[in-house]
Amino acid sequence: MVNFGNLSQGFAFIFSLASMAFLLTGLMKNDMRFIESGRRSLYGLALFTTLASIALGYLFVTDNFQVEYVASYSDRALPIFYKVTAFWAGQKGSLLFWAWVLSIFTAIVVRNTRTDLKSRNTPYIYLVLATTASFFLLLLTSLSNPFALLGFIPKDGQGLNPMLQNPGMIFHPPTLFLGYIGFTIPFAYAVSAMVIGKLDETWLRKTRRWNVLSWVFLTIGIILGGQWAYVELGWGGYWAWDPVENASFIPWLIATAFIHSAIIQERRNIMKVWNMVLIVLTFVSCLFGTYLVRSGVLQSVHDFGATGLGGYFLVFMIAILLGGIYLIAESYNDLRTKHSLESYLSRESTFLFNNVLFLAIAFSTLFGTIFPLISEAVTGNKLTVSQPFFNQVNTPLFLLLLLLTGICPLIGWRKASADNLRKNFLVPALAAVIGAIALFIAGIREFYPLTAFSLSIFVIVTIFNEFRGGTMARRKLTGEPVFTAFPRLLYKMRRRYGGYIVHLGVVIIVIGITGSSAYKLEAQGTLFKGESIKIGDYELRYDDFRGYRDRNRDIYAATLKVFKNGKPAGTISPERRYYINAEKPTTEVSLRTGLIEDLYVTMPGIGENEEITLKVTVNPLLIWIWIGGFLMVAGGIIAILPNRKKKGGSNEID
Amino acid sequence: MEWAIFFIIASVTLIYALMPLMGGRQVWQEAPDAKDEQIKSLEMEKASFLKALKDIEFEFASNKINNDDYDKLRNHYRLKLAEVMKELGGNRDIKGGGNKENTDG
Repeated sequence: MVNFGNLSQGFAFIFSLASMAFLLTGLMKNDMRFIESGRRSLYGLALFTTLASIALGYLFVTDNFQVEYVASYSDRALPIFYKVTAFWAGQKGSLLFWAWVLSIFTAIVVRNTRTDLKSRNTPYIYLVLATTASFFLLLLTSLSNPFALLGFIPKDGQGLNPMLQNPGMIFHPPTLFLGYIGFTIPFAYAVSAMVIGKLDETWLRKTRRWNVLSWVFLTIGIILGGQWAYVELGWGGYWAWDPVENASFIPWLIATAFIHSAIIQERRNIMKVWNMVLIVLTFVSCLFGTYLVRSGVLQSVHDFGATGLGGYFLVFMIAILLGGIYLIAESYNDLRTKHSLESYLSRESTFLFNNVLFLAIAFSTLFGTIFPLISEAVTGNKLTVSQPFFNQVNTPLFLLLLLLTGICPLIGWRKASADNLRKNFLVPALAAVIGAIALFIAGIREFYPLTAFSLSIFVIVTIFNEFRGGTMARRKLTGEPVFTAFPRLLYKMRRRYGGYIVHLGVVIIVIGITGSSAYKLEAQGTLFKGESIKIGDYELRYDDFRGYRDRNRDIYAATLKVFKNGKPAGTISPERRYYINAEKPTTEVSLRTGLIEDLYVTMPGIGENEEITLKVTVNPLLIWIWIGGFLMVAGGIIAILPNRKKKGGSNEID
Repeated sequence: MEWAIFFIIASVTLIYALMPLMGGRQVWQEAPDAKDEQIKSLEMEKASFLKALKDIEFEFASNKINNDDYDKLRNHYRLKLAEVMKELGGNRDIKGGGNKENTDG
């Protein structure tokens, strides 16, 4: 199977190169035969990356430890589920996963454009996709081969990092990668539009679903990553502005800005240059994110070239940036539009401001992320930028974004009338002020939490008003009764209202983040059996301790009786696990989650006499982060639901 | 066995990819028709103005714009739409006439 995998990977590379060669020849000779062969070669590429991926999965499942990659990330005791998912646990498998998914996405594009082969832009789209796939396959076949063999056959593998043996970690990397890879498609369409000079909004319309779907995957990936960090790492939080987290957040921010400004171009035929800039930046940041988390460069700047990968990635990213800049400069005169903003009091202008804010947050995050690398490269000393930097810089920007999220629906496209705006503002603003006073009286007096909660009220009322107003407007225009008008409004204008659901999710996340970060309680102590620890309204009594063997780990678990306000409220059982093949034990979080707060308990230490060291955290409102995340994803999916009637197009306002 | 399976799959895929090259030369792109391009572009403008008019109706019904702005914006886009449709009509006549001439000629 090793040879099968190696050959499949090699053939995939050959097919990607062949596709490029055929397409280029077809374009130069204006010969359809070559273009058709180039198109068909992309199916070949998808087939052989699939075979290579099946081969790697098979090698993991059958414990073929002669394969260096399998030996590094698996062992015999690893449950089969984790063996399969160890595929993307390391750099080599992740690169193969990239190539595989990209080739499948490419095959979907090829299939969807099979009748457009005569269009001038289609071969260029294929060419960009084939070139990107070739880059990853070049890395796989030359520098980072997942099928490379060890010179001996080890008895067992080194095993998968215990912290990665968590359901959240199974889906987190592939969903992030799906998001990263998905943005290759709009990038390819953008490049082809610039090459052939067809710079209207057609490319945006054709890639709208790809954009939003990729964004949805990125969102799922980020949320799953946060959830994994929360339940697995045991420090009581979910986001630490860690470089790996930032590597996924930066593309998400730029992509979000792009999705907003793409809407403006589609509606108003403006911001063409800006959209081209954003899609190039989105794609480069996706490549950067992939490289950052899988290269080891985060440990030290010197690792950048250690595997040889860094240089290749750097050259590819620079080539894309320079190529993008060149194409945008070449098309600049055509991209400039005669249209402009009709009024600064319009939804377009709020979108513009949000773009500025998204990019400001993206660049501050990028700066904080790569600052240690820059400082190490320049001074030889690695100076890290920690959480306070990110919080101080980004929190005010996030609050401004939240304010815009509320203002945006109040303003109409093109031009808003000031008196109507005042009228529409009144109820949400009053609700926010009343809410702020109530919160102040209730004891919430710190600036940021009070502002965040008040703005959240403002945005929620705005969104509900928008649903109500939209339903009434539809009723007025169509004469439908309310209970028919509302679901029809949601479906017919799903792009707009799906977006509002995403915004609602964002607000709910803000509430969760504010509550859990500003009002978090922490306590730590060592307990002997029968002793208790108190935190907030809770008291935890240490009752029992036991040790047992489960599959690939020895588990030591303490049982604690929980009392809330003096009344029994169940038991909680934090664990300490010793995985075979792991150097250090891991702590397993015990969690009682509720709509108001989470009780979060870890056991960092066990003494000789079964005394335990406990770390207890109470995280208010934390579950709302996951609920908000779910709403964001649901809203994104609603926004791209397909039309029931394909032909003739929709006459509805969207 | 592994080799045989791979050989069969690879051969079939290679034949599939190379088959179009066996036939005679086919021109991919005819010389672009400037008139066609112009008509397509005008059609897109027309669609965007229609969309703008629908937007304005909805924004007005949702109380985002007042009567004055509604009238101004609606008239503005109606005029633009009329201009585009006029131009489109003219272009189609020329295109139709041109085609007819070619056919006849």
